[in-house]
Amino acid sequence: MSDNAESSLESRLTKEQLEDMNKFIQKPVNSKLFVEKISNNHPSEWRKAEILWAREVNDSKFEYYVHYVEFNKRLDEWVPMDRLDFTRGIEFPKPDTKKKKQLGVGSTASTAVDDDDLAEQVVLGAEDEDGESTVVEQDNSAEPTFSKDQEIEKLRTSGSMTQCVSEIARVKNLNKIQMGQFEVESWYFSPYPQEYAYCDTLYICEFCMLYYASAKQLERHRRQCQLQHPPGNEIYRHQDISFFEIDGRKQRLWCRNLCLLSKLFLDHKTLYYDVDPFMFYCMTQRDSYGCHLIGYFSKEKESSENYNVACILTLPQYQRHGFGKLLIGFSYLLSKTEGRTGSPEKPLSDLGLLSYRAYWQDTIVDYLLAASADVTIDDIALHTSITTQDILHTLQNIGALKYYRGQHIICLGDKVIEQWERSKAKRKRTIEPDKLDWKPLSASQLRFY
Amino acid sequence: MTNMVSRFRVKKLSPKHPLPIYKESQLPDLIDPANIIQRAVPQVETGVEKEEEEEHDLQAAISAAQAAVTTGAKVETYIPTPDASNRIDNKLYTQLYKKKYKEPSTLIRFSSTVEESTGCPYVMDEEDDQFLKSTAMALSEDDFEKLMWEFESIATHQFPHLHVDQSPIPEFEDFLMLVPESSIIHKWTVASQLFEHWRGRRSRRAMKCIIPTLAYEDISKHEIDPYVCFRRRETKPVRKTRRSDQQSLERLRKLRSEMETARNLLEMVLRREKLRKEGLLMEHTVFEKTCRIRDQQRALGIKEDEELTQMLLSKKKRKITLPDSSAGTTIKIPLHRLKRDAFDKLEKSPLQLQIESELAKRRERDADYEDITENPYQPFPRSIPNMFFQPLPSTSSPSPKLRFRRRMGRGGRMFIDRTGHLPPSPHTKFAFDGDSELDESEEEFDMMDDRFLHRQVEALDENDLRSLLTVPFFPNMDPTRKKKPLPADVLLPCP
Repeated sequence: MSDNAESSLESRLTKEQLEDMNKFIQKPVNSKLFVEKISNNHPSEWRKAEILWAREVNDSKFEYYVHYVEFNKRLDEWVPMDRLDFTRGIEFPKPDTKKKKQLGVGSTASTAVDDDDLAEQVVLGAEDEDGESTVVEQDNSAEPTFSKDQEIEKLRTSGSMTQCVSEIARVKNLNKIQMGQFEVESWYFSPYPQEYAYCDTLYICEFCMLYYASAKQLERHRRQCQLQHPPGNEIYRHQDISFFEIDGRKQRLWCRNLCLLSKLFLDHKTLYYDVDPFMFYCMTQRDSYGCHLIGYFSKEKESSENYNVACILTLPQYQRHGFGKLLIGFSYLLSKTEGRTGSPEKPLSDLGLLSYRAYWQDTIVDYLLAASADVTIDDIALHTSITTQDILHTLQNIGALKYYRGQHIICLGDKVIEQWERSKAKRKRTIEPDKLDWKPLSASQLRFY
Repeated sequence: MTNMVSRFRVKKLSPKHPLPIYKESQLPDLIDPANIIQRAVPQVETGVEKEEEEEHDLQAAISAAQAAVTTGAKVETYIPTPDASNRIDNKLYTQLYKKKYKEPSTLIRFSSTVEESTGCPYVMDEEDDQFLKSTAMALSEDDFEKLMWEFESIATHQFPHLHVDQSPIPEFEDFLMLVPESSIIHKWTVASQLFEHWRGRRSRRAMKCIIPTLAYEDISKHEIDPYVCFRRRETKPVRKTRRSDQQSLERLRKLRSEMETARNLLEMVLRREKLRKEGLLMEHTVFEKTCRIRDQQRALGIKEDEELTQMLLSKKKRKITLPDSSAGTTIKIPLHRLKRDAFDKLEKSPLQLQIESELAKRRERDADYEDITENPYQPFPRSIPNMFFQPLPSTSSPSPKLRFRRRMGRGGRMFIDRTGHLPPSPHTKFAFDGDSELDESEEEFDMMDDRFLHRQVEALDENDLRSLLTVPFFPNMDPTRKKKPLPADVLLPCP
């Protein structure tokens, strides 16, 4: 901010507001105020946001990492000071006597500040690779704690990363990645080596998923990289879409690289444990350069809760093309080949929920419209491999379960059918079950996994 | 609310309940108090974390979806996401990625790992590039990387805790001593120069590897570093009961022994076939030699050896059969030939020979004996003459008509039957004792007469009759019967 701007800003503020502003600059973290959110497609709007972090750029200019209250973490970003609105008052954090308390990861800002009882640090969300939620008790006395003041000081002087352990994971640590032809902004924190954090661009090889901080390194690597598709067996091919099956135990490095990459876009995913107990089913689109990874889903080799998907992701550069539905459809095709129903691991992300609901709705309505006689919920489950619970919820969502003349019926509303027709018209690609060449793992094979 | 409940009592919906499908247009008279259905099916959980569920964008999207099915509003809301639409310059892309992918016609089968498919794990960055360009080292980029990688791997191997204790890296000469013989470092003269560069970079990185690595778990430190990832999982060992333990052990043992047996069998077959081949060759040679001897004998006029000709002849016979059985490397042996061979060639052990000679002698001795050991339970039949009454040789005087015979009775008892003994004359002191029997004349009767038999059979009950079926009837065996003197000429041969 130039001096002119600063002075003009100051002149617009009342004395009170000026005081507040100065107070803010001293201790910005966890304060809430209105921030201008700029986006490409919509006009900018002012939203209430919480400051999570501050950093100094180009001496005496500050940038703040903001989290828009009640919006998803992926929209958090660094904003320069001029996007902060000091005219609408600042909500300062309540002075907590237990200053040493560390705040939980994954909880929204509004609850974290007030909840002093959040002594546990939930390092993992529930949607882990291993399906368990591990809560790590934090020993407050032993942890090196930093008061907010100390943090800012450290930032001002050394720009070091030694902040509160928990706060680190709330902040995106990469700005953007360059993968293949695309430049993609990251959404969430991912534990790439700390040295790569906060660099401008991380270069990722499209085929082997190795990551480098310098373009030269990527160039050198590309000369030697021989992978042209995911390192596994192709189990499905139809037109230009293929699915590859990768075993986490056999392709550890590749799967780890994939998990690190996908963690950038999945909040609840955790890389706490290693990739061994998972199979990765990767969807690719083929052209003359090779089979480009579009998305994937991981699946436990042995799921105790009948989950047929652990994590599922379409890479952001390929989102909104209908590939998500293909991934989900393929996961259910595998379940059908295994002869059982399945459901994705909970919790789902918001995007995941919408995709699954759309898929369930489409598939079930598809089946119902094609059915000639009465159906039972079990029939639908048998044909689609969707669990009965998910089927019931979907039917409830579309208002299809009705009670008519003393018995339960399924009634498909006109609007539901219209939506189905619209969706069908948009559907360019489908999964063809007879193009799958795959056998589920046998019990004896599983014993050695 | 309550009267609604009583009016519309909804049955619980089970997954096996057949549900007719209608379209809304088919049911104009459908009443749908929404809350009734809600009770039949439990409330929908989204499966999203609570805090996330309340986010604006998600709520907006859910409501839009709801609206679409109820009012048909075509509002497609998307949850906004950060930008991913930028692409890099196509020229740059083609520099990095080459258009050389050929799709195989069948599904791909691939199992190489990333490490196998990429080259040297060390890749140069801009700093290295500058260094290389600034010095006059005649080193290609590939070799640069290979050397740097060598330094890195040897250092990690030899000094694994460099970054912990921060001790300085030794000088090149000392370092060289730790370098194995085969390493390429020895081949490059510029290695020492590069070493300095590497050392410098390492120390600037606080002794950590130049290319950053992931933070794996350090078991000693109980840290909650969010950068630590991919911890190893303690595998829960499969709960093995002792029985399944034993079973699997047994199975393994059996498998092993079976495979060993199979292997041994194959080995033995191999040996046997080899021996057969040798044997065949030997026989061939012997035959040749014998032929030659015979020819020579003929030539020299020596009398032909009987043995020799025998050998030739029999050998010839053998020769025809053998080639068939040992043809090729087949393991199959025609069994009947094997048996024949076996009997001819079977060597009898001395013990066996002895036993056989014993048996032969026995047989000779028993030649004029009838072997009736097959019917041990039948008493040996007497020779015919002995079955007739004979006078005792020593006492031929007492009465000329006294005759005796020896008889084997039931249970092996020996009997002596007597005939020809006339009781003293009836006209003795008891002559007038009023026994009417005395006046009776002796009658001869044939016990085998049908009448007698008939009477006897009637007197016996069934059990006795049955027992009599196989046992020959001896009239004298019945102790209750009065012994009637049998006429001498009634000869009842013993069976």
